[in-house]
Amino acid sequence: MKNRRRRKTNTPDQNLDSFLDILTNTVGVLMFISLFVSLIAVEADSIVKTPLASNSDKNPRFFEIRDNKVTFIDDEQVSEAIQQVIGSLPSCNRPSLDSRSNEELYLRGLSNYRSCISSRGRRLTNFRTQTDYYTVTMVNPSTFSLRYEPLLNKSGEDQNQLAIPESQFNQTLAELNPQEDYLAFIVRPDSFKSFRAAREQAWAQGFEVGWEPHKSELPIQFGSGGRTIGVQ
Amino acid sequence: MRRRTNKKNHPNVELFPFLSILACTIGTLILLIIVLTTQALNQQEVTIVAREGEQGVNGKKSPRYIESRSNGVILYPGEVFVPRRELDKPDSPLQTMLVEMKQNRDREYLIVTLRPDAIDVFNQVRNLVEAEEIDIGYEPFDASWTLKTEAELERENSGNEKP
Repeated sequence: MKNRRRRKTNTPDQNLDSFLDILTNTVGVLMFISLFVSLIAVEADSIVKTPLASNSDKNPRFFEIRDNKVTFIDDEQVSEAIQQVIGSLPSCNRPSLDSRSNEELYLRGLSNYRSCISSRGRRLTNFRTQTDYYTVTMVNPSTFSLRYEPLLNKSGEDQNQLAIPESQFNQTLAELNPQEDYLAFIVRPDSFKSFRAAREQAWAQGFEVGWEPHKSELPIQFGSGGRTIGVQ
Repeated sequence: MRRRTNKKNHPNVELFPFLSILACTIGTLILLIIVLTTQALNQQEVTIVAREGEQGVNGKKSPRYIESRSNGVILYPGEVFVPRRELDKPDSPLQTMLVEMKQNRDREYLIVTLRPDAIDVFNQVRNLVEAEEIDIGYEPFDASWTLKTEAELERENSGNEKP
């Protein structure tokens, strides 16, 4: 009997059914996602509720939002530091009119008084203190204008960090009283998003909120004049 | 002897063209999703209304809108653009609007939106509004947002409710 030789084929028999299944499923899922995204795109409108501006008898507590990060401007700490400096200043007594009887004594007293006042002015002008996030310097002693410059090595908390219960922002809010304090945010143009997040959080904790847009290049300066940030 | 040829009943289906079509569909769908997502994220229409005050004061008033931009303001409704140099002019549309609002102070309040590059224009507008003692609310407005007034929103909602 003649042996029949079987012919081997080199090309494997490809079964594409499973692959087709995967592809058709993928198409289905993608179509579903497109429909979902289209729906979201159509319903993307949102409503933002903003309070109307008003004045408040409460104490403002200031925060700055720069680079979408929130930092606390601890002006109370700075006030205490200034009070300490003022308390340590020498008391300058103007010579009384009675001493005019002795002209030389009066002139010496007047000269001492002037140098005392000048010394006080110098010490106030050189006032400098530091908070957690700012270096504070005196710009104008006569109006007690203070400039807050952010520390380069310190940055605040971003939107995600704010939401953490142990965040610095929440800790600061915990120390404040919504019945006595309101939050005043100084918002840089690049930080609207974080401001909205911080504001929501403050509202949720019962605080009234005010805000003031502030140009990126302008430093923060407190003193007489300027604008008061009310509740808004 | 004649051998009987065994005829196959199943035709040999070539699936490669079908695969190509599926691959193209997947590509198109991915592209579509990316475009739609980008649009949804960037082109957000936002309506700003006043938060309810004590005893629902703000709810009884209706809002009018001013959008502050770097080169001027847009007044709503009507989307009338007023260039920055004309804001202070007595006959400008902004001043006309403020005079009207001053007369309707008990019924209307003003919402001023503020784009990131429009702080100077916003300050100018706010000073004018506050001088007229009109109720004002102001809100930061992202560069990618589009303002939709409350009236437009109500019109849309009432249109959707109709059968």
